[in-house]
Amino acid sequence: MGTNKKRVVITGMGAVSPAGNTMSETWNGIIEGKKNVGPVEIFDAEKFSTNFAYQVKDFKLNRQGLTDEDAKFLNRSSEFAWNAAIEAATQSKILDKGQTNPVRTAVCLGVGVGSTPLAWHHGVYMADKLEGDEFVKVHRKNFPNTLSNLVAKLLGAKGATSTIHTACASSGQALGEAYEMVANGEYEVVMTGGADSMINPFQMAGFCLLGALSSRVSDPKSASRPFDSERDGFVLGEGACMLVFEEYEHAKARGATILGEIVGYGVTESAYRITDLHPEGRGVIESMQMALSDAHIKPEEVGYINAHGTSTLLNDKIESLAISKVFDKTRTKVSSTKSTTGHLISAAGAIEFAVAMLSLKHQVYPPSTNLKVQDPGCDVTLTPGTPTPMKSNYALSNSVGFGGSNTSLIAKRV
Amino acid sequence: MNTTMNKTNSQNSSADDLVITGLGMLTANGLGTETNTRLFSEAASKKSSEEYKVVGFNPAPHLTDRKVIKAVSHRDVLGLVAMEDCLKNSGISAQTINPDRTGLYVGAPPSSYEDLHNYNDAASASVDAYGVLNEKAFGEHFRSASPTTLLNGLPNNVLCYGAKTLDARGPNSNYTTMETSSHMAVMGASRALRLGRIDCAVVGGYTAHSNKEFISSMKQRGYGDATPVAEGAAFATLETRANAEKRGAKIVCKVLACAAASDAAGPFQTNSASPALTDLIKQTMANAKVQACDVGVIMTSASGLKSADQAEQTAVNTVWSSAEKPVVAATATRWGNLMEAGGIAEIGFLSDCYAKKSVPESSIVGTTGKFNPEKRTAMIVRTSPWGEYSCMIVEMC
Repeated sequence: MGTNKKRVVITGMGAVSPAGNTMSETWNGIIEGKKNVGPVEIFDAEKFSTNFAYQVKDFKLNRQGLTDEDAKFLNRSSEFAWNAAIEAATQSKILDKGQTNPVRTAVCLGVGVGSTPLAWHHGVYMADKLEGDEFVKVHRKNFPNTLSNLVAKLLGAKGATSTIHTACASSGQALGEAYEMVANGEYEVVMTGGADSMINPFQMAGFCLLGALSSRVSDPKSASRPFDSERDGFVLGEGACMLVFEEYEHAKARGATILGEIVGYGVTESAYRITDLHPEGRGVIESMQMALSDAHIKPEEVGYINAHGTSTLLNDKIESLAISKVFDKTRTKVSSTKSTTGHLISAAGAIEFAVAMLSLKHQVYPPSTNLKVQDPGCDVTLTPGTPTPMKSNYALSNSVGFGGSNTSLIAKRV
Repeated sequence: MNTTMNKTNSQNSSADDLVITGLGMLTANGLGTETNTRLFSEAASKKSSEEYKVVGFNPAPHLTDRKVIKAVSHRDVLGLVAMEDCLKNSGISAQTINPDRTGLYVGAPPSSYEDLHNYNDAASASVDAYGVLNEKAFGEHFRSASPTTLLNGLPNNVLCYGAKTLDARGPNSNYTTMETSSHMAVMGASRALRLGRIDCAVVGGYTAHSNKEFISSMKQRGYGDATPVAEGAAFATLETRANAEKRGAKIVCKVLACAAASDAAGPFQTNSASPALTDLIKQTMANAKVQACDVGVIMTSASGLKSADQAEQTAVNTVWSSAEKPVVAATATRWGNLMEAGGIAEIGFLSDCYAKKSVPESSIVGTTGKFNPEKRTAMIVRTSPWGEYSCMIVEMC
């Protein structure tokens, strides 16, 4: 990015995840190694080859700012996102009168394909009851842009409302574009983040068919084990994370609390295969290099990388290779917090950037939960299994999606 | 508001200008912009979404990788064919580009329940007498489906396979914002071009909402009676003038500005008084450094949704209240509602209008002014039932 770019700071964060129903609960859950993983409760998955997932528990929709009619448009993951948006906006105080200029406020979210009650819906489809009101009630929950539309309404944001889908890179990409919108001077405030829940019969079946999920049904709590020599696939999670990105001077002028800064963004395409990373890490390497260049920092200044680290054989091996080509393993530690949250798919990039930022704020390395024996093919320095003190001002978060999109975001401690 | 694309005004040209150098298009009417623009003088408007479906078209001869046809959905094939048509027309290929400095920005429709067709056998074996899926039974039957069932419905398949075909490894994005999607793609690509991250990008969108679930649902919201949803795709190559001139490409138009805005009123709550759209048009003109009197043509969505059409009409009347109103047209009268492909598709139409120095009567909507082909500035407005808007201003060559 050019030298005239504006500083972009984070003034609000909110999350709903299997590790906790707020951002602080999520952070504490990750640090404590909390594992809300077990048999699928959302539907009857008993006969599925993988029948467990990380699930959000004890969730209650916050109806603040939500009309009964608007609530009908929210699906499971957008309900998570709604709570996260209110938490982030409240922390940032942008819901207070006069804090933002509506036309200089935008929304940019990464939203997944999941979370409509597909099982029920497909039943209706099969029964050819498409003209019925019941069908419409379900179908209206399925538009990908509705969440950003409703968040814009919550904030009174009259700028662009953007929704991005690049599979597991969706919210990493949304954060990156939100950052560029503010850094370029297009907007003063952008609510960004992501939401997803693919824990439903059709999409879980899809991942089973691809052989992407861990089948460690006898021990779900240790199934998500990124970079471990006995990893056998990822474990689905669900949730949402929302962040308020704000132009630094704007935040300062209104006395907002600055939680951290985003200073670099890289985004590339592997242009290889839909589900596989390029064997030499092409795309991931360039994404991290682009982010470093954008941040005007050297690789050795990055103390921590929150890796995409899905716990699949291929991802962890190739991402490690890519990291080792860009970073010095004696200076930069790596972990994947998917061992505590599961894979939040389109929401993964947002929550993992937030965790990277909080690790800087608290100067703590998130633990490599579930790591027993590091795969010698993953030649990076992983964080220990317990939280340890950090001394660094920069952290990087990677996201890699089916379809080949790669993103890297760099957070700076303030 | 949003992005200013060019530092210079429409009277000047600069190496930093963002220009469009090639277009690709596929609709129910056929492949290519010429095939489609001809219809405005030759054909009558179609009546239903069924007629706007792309049927009987053989995509294989138009795709570099024909195997992809089996790996993706029908709508993805439309997108990939239009994208390759664009690459051909703009003279770029995997052999000529710098992979790391080429971007891909796509406006894509969401997944459809038709994407689940691979599960039909398993689901049929698992539904109870009321048509409701028995999940336990489905767990026993789903393995009969293709291993790639999930991938078939991904909304970013065109981005993925398009990047592979072109070997485009630079910045990219995939927007699912319905009617404003392809303009979002222009904004994203323009930002990457302005930041110097890429030299050129393929931008556009594709659409295929002609499925019974979408039409059934939207009908209940008063949508689509006037202009049925259509299938199709449109892509353009967007690059810096310096890059275009370096490779000797023919420039179709210069993109002066592109921006988006929202009513912030919630889904299906378009404000027919349209203050947000009015402000957006004014702001985009300010970004483009053009006056109302400079605009030769306004292309509107004319989606057929009453409140959205009223919003467009009101905004245009307000902005041009003290200036001579230009001709107001819409391609929906012959191409149907191209949803995610709209916003880019119109550039081919505009190019034809300026070449022939006339705007076809069959495209004109409402009470409008006359077309003055000397005014090379054209505006494309997109309006969605979510009260979301985008506006792009171009200078036609």
